[in-house]
Order: sequence, then structure tokens, then C-alpha cells
Amino acid sequence: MNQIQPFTSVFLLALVSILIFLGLGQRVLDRMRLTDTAALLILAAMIAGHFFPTINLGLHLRVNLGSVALLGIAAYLLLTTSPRESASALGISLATALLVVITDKVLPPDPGLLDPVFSAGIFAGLLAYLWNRSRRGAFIAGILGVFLADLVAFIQLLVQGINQPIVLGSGGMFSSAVICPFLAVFIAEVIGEVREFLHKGTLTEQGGDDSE
Amino acid sequence: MILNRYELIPFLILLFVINLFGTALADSDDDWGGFLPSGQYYTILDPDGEVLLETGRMVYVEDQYLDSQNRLYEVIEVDAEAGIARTEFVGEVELEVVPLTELRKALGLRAAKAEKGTMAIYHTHNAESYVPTDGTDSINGKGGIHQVGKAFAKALQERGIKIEYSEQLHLPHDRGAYRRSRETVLELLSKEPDAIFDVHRDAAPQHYYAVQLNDEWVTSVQFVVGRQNQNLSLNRQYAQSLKKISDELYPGLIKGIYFGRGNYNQDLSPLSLLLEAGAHTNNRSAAERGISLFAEVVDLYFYGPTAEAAGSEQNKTARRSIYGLVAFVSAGAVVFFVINSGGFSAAWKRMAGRFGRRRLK
Repeated sequence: MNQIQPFTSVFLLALVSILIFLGLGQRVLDRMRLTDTAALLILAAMIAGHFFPTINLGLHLRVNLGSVALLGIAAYLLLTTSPRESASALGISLATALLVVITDKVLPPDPGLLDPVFSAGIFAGLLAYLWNRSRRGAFIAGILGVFLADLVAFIQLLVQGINQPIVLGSGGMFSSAVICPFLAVFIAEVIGEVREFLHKGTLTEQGGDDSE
Repeated sequence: MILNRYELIPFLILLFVINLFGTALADSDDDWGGFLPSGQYYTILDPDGEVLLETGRMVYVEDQYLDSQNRLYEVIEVDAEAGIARTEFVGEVELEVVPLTELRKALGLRAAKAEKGTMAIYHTHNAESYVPTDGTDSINGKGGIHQVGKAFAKALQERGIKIEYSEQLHLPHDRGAYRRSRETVLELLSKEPDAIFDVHRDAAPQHYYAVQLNDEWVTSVQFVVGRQNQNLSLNRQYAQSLKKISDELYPGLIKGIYFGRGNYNQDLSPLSLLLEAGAHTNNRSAAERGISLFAEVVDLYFYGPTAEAAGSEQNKTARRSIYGLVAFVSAGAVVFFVINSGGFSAAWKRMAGRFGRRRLK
């Protein structure tokens, strides 16, 4: 009897996982009122960012060119919505960064409770839902939360006089700045769906202009 | 603002999260993220009340510990105020060396090359230092742990292994260091190392890690494997294989394997291991000697004669990894379907519609 080799099955499953991740990502972006083309372009930029180098901005501040693509995506999302929605997305981002910094400092240095790699995504998702139920806000805060937390670490080191290069965000496909925006939308979406499910579909429209 | 009962749900979730933080805050006496204050450790007791492990690491229920005698314990109760954790005995583990070729095959990688490859080393917590030698337990910059990392790199190089040693700092010394070191791990992984090591030191009493080997005092090494890591099954096999070889070569050199909550960036590679090279109370030179002996174990596992394939056990490991992936993929597919359908109710209707049509036929 022919047996599927672990190599083949693991490889195929990994491939399917990536396709689902990308498919899910595309749907997440699609639900933020982006066109299919824009959503696919953003995904392509994220994948390409994985292969971009890191450059020095001076003062020990470094940035991965993939991160620049991420910042570009955040800026694009901020500029293509109403001023009110943009303002709330920035507010959610600041609150997310604040919570990330606080938990980074206060919780024990080893991961365990609230993994530091995913914390920005969790906070962004929860805050965006509570603030105005905006998927766009969650996505933007997932990106900016990581960047702003890195920026706070950079300022802290600068004040302490420690010469250490800090990389702002990261363009790697598996970096926190890429995982967190998707995680944030996913969390906001799940909370919304659970609430809607309990509400038996009688939910009324509230909040942000791209909300449920 | 008055919340209706449906809006209460996310609010309660938020409260739950805040409550989790509150518990953690109560657990953490240190200010701004250091280890537990000097002289304070978590003491993990076996079911008879004997001390099993002392560590500065936060301990959580369901964490597991494989001791030097290969007895596996699981934490069932944590008294954060007293710093005591109680365990139950899970069982004796008969360690086996899973050949590298088999591990690589299970990972979907090509078989190991004949020549010696590259090992990557980095430090997530750069500040960690050794009090007797460095004068302090933490240096805001490159702490004593960097010297231990260099000793490890040198010992591997002397065996003809190429080294990618990153001294990139991930300060401040807080939990965000794991987020910052992720970039370092990704950078090191792009150089295709055979394995990657995050070298740390623990916070524990001096006697805990001290061991005499070859008439010399060295500090033992403890492995830490993250439990929230999809590679856990393979990572466990890898860590246990190294321990098995070390137990035969230098009995007592590997203190044990701690399976802790978190992922420690080990989700990026199953051949990634966190090493605790002694504790802050130990002499740094003893830690350097200990980790240099461990380099021999690494060389032997990766490039020396490995044990015969462990047959069924290895297949079981591969199968477990596959089941994990199947579960992950299935969950992803369900989420995708629900989002794609426009919500739970729509997804349910779509499913019901399909089955309904079939019944009509």
C-alpha cells in the first residue's frame, strides 16, 4: 500500500495553510471596503517586504524597507477614509501602543501571559471593536501599535544614552508588524460575529463608516 | 454610556484581559520587567514536597519539567505570593535520539548535508550577567551573557562548524525584547543555519546549576521549549535527543527541559532552542566551560554518528505534527468560510441550504 510520506503531507499542508492565510488576508482587506486589486496589491507588498533589506536612518534608528511598505499601507488606509475614521484609527493606534508599552514593562520579561509578538494585534482588535467597531481602525492600529512601541523603546534608549540600533517594525512575513494587523481584524471580527450571532441578526448599524 | 447586554460581551472580554494582567501584576514584584528580585525564585516542588526546580522564570499551570533523571512533571498549582508551584508526576520518559535526517524529513527539508554547516546564536536578553564575575546581574548593554555566547560560538568553531553570531541588542530588558529579537531570528534564519540558539542565564541559587564534570566545576545547561508553538512536538524530540546524547557524554550537564508557556520565537523554527547557561549567582567562567561542553553534544548530534532511526516513535512524532497542522488548516478553513459567507448565521444558512437541497433530491 502506498503511504503518503510525512515530507509530502507536511509540505502540502503548509502550502494549503499559506493559501488560506493569504485568502483570509484578502477577505480581511476586502471587508475594509478596498477593491480586490488594492487588497491583492497590499498582500503582494507584504510578501515582497519579506525580502527587503534593512537600512540605517541615523541615530541608531533602522528601518526595514518592507516596514516602509507597511507604513505606506497604513497611510493609504488612513487617507482613503473619512477624517473622523482616520482620527479614531490614530487614537486606537496610540492607545494600542500605550498598552503594548505598559505590558512590555510591567509583565515578566519572558513570554507566557499575552505573548509580546501578538499583544499589539490583541489590543488593536479589542480597542477598535470597543471604540467604533472599525475593521480599518483595527488593521491600522495593528501596524502602528508595533511601530509606535518600537519608537518608544528607541526614545528610551536614546535618553539612557545606550547606543543600540532599533529596527522599526519589520517587513518579514512572520514579523509582529505583519501578523498583528490581521490578528486585530480577526479579533474584532470574531467579537462582532459572536455578538451578532447572540443578537440573532437584529443588530443595528452603529459606529464607524466601515463598521458591521 | 449604557451598554446593552450584547455590548457587554466584548466589555467582559476586556475585563477578563485586564483581570489577567492584574494577576500577572500581582505575580510580578520586580519593577520595569527585571527577573524576580535577587534571592527570590520560584520553587517547584514534586508531589512529595521535594524541591524539583528553582528558577527566576514565571511558572504557569500546565508547564512541564523534565528533570535530569528524565522524570516528567506537570505544574498543577501556582502560589504566586509564596513563589511555590506544585506538580504532579506524569511519568518516566525514555529518551531516544531521533536522527537529524528524520527530523529534517518531517520538517519537509532536504536530508542533512555530509559537511558541517552553520549554527546561529543570539541573545534576546542581552543585559543578563553573572554577579560573581560581572559584579551585577544586569548590564544595560552587552551583559556577561555575550561572553558566554562567544565561548559557545568559539567551541563550535573549533569543531569546524560555521557560526552566525548576532550581538544585536534587544534592549530595553523587558518582554518586548522577544518582539525585537524576532527580527534578529528572521535575519539569522535567512542564512539557513542548521540550528539556532537563544542563549540566556537563569536566576536561581548558586548550587542549583553548579555541577562537577571532568574534575572541574561548570554550570549545567537547561533547555526551555515554548508550549505555544506549533512545532512543539518536533521541538520536544529535538531537545530530548540532545539531552540523551549529553546524558551519555556528560551526565548532569543538561539540568532538564522546561516546557513553558509562550513561544519564545520557536514558532519560526523547530530547531530553535533557548539555553539557560547557569544562573546569575554562578561564576561566568563556569558558564562558559559548561556551554563549551554542550558544543560537543551539538556537534555530535548534527554532524557525528547519530543513533539508528527510532522507527515507530519517530513516525508517531511526524504524525502528531501532521495532526496539528490538519487541525490548524481545518480551523483556518472554517474561519475563512464564515467570513466569506458574511457571518455565522449566513454560513449556517449556506450549509443548511446545501444539505437541504441534497435531501430534496
